[in-house]
Amino acid sequence: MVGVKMAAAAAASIRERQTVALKRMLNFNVPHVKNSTGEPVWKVLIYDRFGQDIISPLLSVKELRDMGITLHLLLHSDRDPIPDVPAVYFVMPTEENIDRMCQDLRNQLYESYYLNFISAISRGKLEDIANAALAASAVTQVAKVFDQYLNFITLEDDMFVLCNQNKELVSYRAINRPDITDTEMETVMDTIVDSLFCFFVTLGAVPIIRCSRGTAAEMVAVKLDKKLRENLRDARNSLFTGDTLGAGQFSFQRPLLVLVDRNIDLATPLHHTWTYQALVHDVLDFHLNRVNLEESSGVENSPAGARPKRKNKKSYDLTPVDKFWQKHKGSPFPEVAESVQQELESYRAQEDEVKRLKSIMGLEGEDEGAISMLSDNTAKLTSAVSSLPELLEKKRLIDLHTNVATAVLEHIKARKLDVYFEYEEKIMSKTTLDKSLLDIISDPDAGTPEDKMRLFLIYYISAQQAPSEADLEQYKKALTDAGCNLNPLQYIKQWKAFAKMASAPTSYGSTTTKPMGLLSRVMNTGSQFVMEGVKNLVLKQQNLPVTRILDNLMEMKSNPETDDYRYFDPKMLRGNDSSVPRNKNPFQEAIVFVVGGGNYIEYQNLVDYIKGKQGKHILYGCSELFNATQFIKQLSQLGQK
Amino acid sequence: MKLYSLSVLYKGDPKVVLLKAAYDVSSFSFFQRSSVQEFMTFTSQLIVERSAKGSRASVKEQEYLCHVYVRNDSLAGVVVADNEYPSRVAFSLLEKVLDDFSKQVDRIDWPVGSPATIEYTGLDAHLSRYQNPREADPMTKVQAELDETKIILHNTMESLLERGEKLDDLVSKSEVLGIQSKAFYKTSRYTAFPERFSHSQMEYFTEQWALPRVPGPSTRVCFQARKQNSCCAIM
Repeated sequence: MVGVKMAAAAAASIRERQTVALKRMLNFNVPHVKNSTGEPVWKVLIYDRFGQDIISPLLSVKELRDMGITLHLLLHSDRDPIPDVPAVYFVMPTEENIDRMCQDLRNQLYESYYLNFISAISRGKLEDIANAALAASAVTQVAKVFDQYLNFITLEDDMFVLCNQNKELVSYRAINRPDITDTEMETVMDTIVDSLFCFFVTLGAVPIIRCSRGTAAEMVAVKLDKKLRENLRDARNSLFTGDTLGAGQFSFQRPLLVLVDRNIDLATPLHHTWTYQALVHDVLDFHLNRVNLEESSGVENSPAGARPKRKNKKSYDLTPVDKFWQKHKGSPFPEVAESVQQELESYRAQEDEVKRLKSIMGLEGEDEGAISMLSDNTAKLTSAVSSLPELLEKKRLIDLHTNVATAVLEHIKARKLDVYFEYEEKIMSKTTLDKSLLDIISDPDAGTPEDKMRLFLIYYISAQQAPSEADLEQYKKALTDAGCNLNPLQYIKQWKAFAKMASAPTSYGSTTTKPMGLLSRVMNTGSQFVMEGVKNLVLKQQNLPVTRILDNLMEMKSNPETDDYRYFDPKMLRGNDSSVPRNKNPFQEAIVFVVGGGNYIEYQNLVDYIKGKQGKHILYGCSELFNATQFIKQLSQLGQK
Repeated sequence: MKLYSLSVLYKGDPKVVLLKAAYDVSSFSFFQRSSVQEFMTFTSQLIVERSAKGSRASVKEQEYLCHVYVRNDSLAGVVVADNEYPSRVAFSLLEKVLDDFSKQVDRIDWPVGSPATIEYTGLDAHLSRYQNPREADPMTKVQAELDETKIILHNTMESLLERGEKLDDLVSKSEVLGIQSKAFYKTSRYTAFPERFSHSQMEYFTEQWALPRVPGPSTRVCFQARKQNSCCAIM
């Protein structure tokens, strides 16, 4: 029983773990007990942009208040002295930040200082701070100095990205551009490894690492193995023993870390998608769990004539508290639309109930036989009143999702994204195509130039044989006529030539999508989600390349694609180079990390895959998160000569 | 226009031995570089294997052109370039390199050599210099120089013309010179430096002055004729 419990705890979400770590930090580095009575100590939180990105998806302002943070400020802003309040710092140990912190110490801004570094600080910089503290006679005020090892951003229970602020440094382009020097590559790899290391410290487990050969993933694997190994050997300072680990260390099963390179599958980041979260990321401005919408309000009447529509910007946070989001973020869009409709109806029913009670209560004084109804109604009223906050929350969510889904639907209709989705699915699964590619590209109504470029690139990537010169010229002309920039194609050509040379082409599995015909799914007249003309496509489970690789490695299946993967076990005394895994049992827990960038489509595919497997957990991480627009931009830069 | 690799091999029987190679893979992304290098080594070996001794060939492989030259003494050179690189320059590079190599490395070392054991350091320098074909190849270099120096030449020609005119007078005055030799002389006047001019330049001049092309041995004769301008005795 103990083993099972521990194993379950080890599978606790990364979000929970990071939140716990943050709360502990905010509680002056003492473990935070949830239901502690008494007022929390009031304090100030100082962070840099890295810290802000890490905290914002995890803790809302209200939660910060609950922890006693009255004021939260950016490190590099003008801050007034608040001499009787302790300050908690959460920053990266860079030169600039250290200088600013020393300056703070000299200026005697706060009562006491709790310094927390997102990733490990070097000895030299630590000495700088010590010197500054000494010079300012503030040594006693520096209460605690901690390395937090939290240098990664958790977006979901089971999804994380490395960084946001300096993501150009570790972008797909940075890793794959030809003019990179050895030292630059080392820096990029070190950045990635540092974050991954922090991730495993927070997770509290030492993984078994598998990676493909000859790619950036291999370089990351080698360095990560080395770093983990060094840390484990260092008996005094090992981060993987002791109480910071918690239950993880007793888990019988160690997790599997699969490191893959973005280059094994370039079609998925370009794919037009059909699930809610991925769609929001693709068509709207969705960033660190926050979506920004532009809503155009009606035309305003003014004496001078009609003013142009003013666009209101609204932003919503899509959080774990949002039950609708949690339930439907992986659902196909028509299902989402339907569910919003259902929620709206049930909300309206409840609202009507409350209104009815209100009116009954209003009439009560006039009615004589009302007293007998009173107790009945009181009960009803009580329940109505107590459910009011819930009801309000529900209303808020419905509004939110109505707005978001409407915005998404507008995009789908305007760009005919359903057509693209269906076509691409067919291309990727190598079923016969009913419409010619050229037709879609030349169609002026269907999609933006970027959509067409995406479609063509997927076609080119998935094709067993490159199209003939003449065909290619034809396509190129059609694309240029449609307004596309051909630079991404240039890069993909090079990539394909190399991929062909190096290994066999990837296949995307064989499956079919079942369109329910061009049925106009008008749900009811009151519905805002008139999906008329939009195909109600149902996603059939198919495994993307990354999922397939994970499946092979996790279930210890033999497959030519993955048999050659390297094997690293940092806990083994002598590192050997064999690719023969010593562990023969399937893994219960796995972390998939894509070096070079990932996206929600892959994430959703993994989530769907693991749903069917009892007791298994997957975490998905990537060095950066991009949608197709951002990815095309990078490809375009790479394709420029 | 780019060169990717330059290698010297020995066409042994039955195996082809790589003696030395230089690579420029800087245009490939970091993780592709080692694969591409290996691929090129492999291709080079394969091509030499399939080429006969004393032959030159250009093999197209996707976006690349591999030029191979196998000498009669089994020493072979392969240069991998892109489609734009002029093949003439590539072959002259190969010839030069093999020549250079055979002078510096003993023949006995060839059949059993490998990049580790062979001491020849010129390949990298050749590869980087020939990245710019105009800079490296004497013929194209001269072409470029000529393009720039047409004016200078013109001046020289003009000055030559003046002299020529005098010579002409002399030639036409001379009664000893036969009609043929006079005609011949007219031709030779404008091709005073045959070795330095390429054929196309000769064409330019011959067109300019409406002269028949006078390649090869006759140019030597003309030269002699010029020397003997006073006593225009042409056999």
